[in-house]
Amino acid sequence: MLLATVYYRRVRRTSLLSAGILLVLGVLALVEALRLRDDWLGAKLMPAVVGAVLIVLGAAHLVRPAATPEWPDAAGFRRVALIFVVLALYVAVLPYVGFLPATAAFVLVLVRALGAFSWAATIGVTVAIALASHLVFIYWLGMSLT
Amino acid sequence: MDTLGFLAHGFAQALTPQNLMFAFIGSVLGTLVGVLPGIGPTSGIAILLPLTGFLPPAPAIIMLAAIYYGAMYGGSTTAILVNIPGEVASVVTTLDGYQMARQGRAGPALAIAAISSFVAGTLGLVGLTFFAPPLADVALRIGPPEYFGLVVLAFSVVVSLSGPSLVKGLSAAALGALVALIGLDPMSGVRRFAFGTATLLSGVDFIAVIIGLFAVTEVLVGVEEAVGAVSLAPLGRLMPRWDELKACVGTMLRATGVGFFLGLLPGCTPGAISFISYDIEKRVSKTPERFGHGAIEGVAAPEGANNATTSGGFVPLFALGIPATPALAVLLSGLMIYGLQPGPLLFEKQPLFVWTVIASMYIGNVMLLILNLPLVGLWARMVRIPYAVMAPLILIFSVLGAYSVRNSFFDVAMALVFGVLGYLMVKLAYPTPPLVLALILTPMLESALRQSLNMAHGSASIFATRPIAILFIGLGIALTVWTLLSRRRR
Amino acid sequence: MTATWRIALTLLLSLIVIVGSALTAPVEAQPAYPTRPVEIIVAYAPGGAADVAARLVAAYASKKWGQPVNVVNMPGASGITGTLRAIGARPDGYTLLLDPHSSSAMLFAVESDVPFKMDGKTPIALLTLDPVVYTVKEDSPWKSLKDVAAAAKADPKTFRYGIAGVAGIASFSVSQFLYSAGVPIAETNRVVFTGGAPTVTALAGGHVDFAGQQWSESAGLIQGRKIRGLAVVHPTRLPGLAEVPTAKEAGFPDLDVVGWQGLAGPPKLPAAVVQKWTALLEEASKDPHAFWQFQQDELKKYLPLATRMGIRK
Repeated sequence: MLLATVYYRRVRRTSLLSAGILLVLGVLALVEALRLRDDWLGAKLMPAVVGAVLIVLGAAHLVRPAATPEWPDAAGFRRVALIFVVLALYVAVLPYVGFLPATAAFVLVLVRALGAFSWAATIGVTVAIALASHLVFIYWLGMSLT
Repeated sequence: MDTLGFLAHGFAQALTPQNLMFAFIGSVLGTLVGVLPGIGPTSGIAILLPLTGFLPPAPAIIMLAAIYYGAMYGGSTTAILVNIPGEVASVVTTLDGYQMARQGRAGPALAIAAISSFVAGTLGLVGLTFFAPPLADVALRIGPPEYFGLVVLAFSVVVSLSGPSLVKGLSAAALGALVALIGLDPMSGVRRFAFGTATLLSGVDFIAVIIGLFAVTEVLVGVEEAVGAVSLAPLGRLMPRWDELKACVGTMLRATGVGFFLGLLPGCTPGAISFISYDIEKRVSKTPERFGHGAIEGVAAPEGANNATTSGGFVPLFALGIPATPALAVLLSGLMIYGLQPGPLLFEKQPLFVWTVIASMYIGNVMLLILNLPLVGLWARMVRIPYAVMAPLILIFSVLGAYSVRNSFFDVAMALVFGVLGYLMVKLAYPTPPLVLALILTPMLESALRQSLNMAHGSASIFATRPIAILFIGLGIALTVWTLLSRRRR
Repeated sequence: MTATWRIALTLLLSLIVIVGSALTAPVEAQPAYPTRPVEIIVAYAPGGAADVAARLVAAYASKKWGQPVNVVNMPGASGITGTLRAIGARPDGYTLLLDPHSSSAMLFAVESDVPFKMDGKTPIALLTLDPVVYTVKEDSPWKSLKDVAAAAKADPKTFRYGIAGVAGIASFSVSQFLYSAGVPIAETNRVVFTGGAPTVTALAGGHVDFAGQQWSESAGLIQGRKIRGLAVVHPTRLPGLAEVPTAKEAGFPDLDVVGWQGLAGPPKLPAAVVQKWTALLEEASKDPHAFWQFQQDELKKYLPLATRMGIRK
């Protein structure tokens, strides 16, 4: 019995969340449509239409039964979170520190976190990837990241 | 008009060893550039254009054409191997191509992409060769109401791609539509959803979104599932089986037709066209449930459609001087620097130039096939690289690719945001193709609709006077209804 | 536990790598300009008139100075994004801006809260002029601007004109014409397209009846006999369009909307840098082998090259 209620609650929760997001976005769109200073057949048209559609779909989520989502296990979730945080840090730091150092650090952390290489191999891979991407993007294609 | 004579002359010009070498170099460079995500044919040509600066006209043009086709093909390679579409047009290729790679069939996927591209591109060029001027006039007759009809037709694909849950598919599409509206309205200049910031004013860049939704999401999923590599399946054959090739013949022909004729219409983006072509294949197939899980036709169709679209796009380009896509625009400015003056008189005033260009397109197509088929083995092996090495590479490419579109870190941030969104969508079983399709189609839908209404002072009566538009709209509705009904049956 | 340790150690190592590289960065010297690659920011997508103009200038300058001059595209928000970046850069001459009419007076006329000031840049030079051509479909019954004005006044509800963007040059050029002709604009049909190329294409296809885009956008179809030029906004007739009268000859001497591209830099740009550029551009305009010229007889060669493809975002 307890398991059933827990299961049921879990399922409803994600549906509620999705419905909520859609409804909020829909309302946002409608509000924006109303705010705009243009004719209804101009810039206001699509935001209004899309807003209405979002609201309808949000409501639809509440009505139909939802399937159980496949949530990852704790270890998987930790991995994803870690990699994403490292990625975000890399992007944040990139314009300030320069391509080569930031990329080298990034690759280092990732290879270490994801693979079971020896330190020598890790360093080797890091240097290779960082140098190669530097050569291609910065040197050859002349991208400037400042 | 001595078409064949001129064409022969053009070939004679283009087939010198020196020119062939430039075609080869162009193909290689173009492919390499195309492989980098976010750097598709548009920026690829813009970047490589200076390289051709020191060459005399004929080899320069040949190299440009080769770069262009190469860039388009390069985008497909990454789409198949690591789920990163190189540009808009390769998005559809990821649907089945990446699945094939995961099943150890990267070889046949890459091969069929090359073959289909070649066949469709060549056939499309034949169409261009013989039918350019009259087709250009047809293209002119397609105005805003007809475009609206086409987009309605294309939206029917959303229903088809929604997977098991229609509500989820439509929600994804609605989300995509909303994102497309962010920024400055191109027609009226009104700021929408910008919330007072200057960054949001430029809108959310499409490439950044697909890099996030495809590349970053895939890495997040792969990391969560602790995969060892993109594919640990034993690498099977490198070429498609005979029966598969035969099955794809029909696909390639249909894709060529769809791609060429829709590519004629300036403003019809290759992305939308490849979705339509994919959908057509799915509908005519006797086993549509294979699509999305590694159906080889699912790779042959968009790849063929892309190249045929390119050839189709050359019709308004040469005959009217109107580029159908930004990439063609850059190609055009490159050609014009060498003295090409497009327009209906082009074929009369500069026949040799134009036929040399067209001949070099043919050669570019062939060159790509020759270049890439042997390399399929090499590319295919890349899917077995340990994930610890692949993941950082993919992420670095994603970051740089997203940045490179507009030299903006905002786009990189967007890629990350959509990476997370994509991950959540995968976990909650929301399909991503409808989001992408809506993102592509919404701006087209909006401008076509508003322009049509403007033409008749705001009344919808304009549609009553345009039979072709009504036809398209009717088809779109009919297809949507049909898809809905066949879903019920299952 | 060991995994966390490993990660912590790695982060520490990375920190050392980062700090180390930053510390060993070389210090810059201050010799003659330019000593490293220069960037010209184009606030529009590649392939457009602004982009092509920038690339031509860049190519010429690279050759003359031996330092790469790169074009960097930053499209978005009608040119505001890229422009903001360029004028916010350090005024050392290594980041410049391709400054077209659309980021200048016209923008300020339309938008009341542009995040930069019109005098918030150092102007360097005017690069090109792109006059407006008023056009109709090739087989249109209207043979002159006066015909158009008469028809529009007689039946404004069926008069359809196309423009590229509500704040674009065509909006000004066509509106100016309609106002000076006394046409009741509110009753006409204005169809807005997203760029110059779709606009003239629609004109050629008969979906709209009148347009006033730039020469670079209209030239191809005019020469291909799909659309016809009725008047050109320029003191003299354009080479290559000898049969098209000027606006003055057509009876509308007050029409004066014109398109152009210029080069500019962030505010407080050193005079030495500005001088280097103006000297180069002057030399280029005298150099018969240069790609671009301001003289009338070179307009014919250049303006087709700077075809605006209308892909502004």
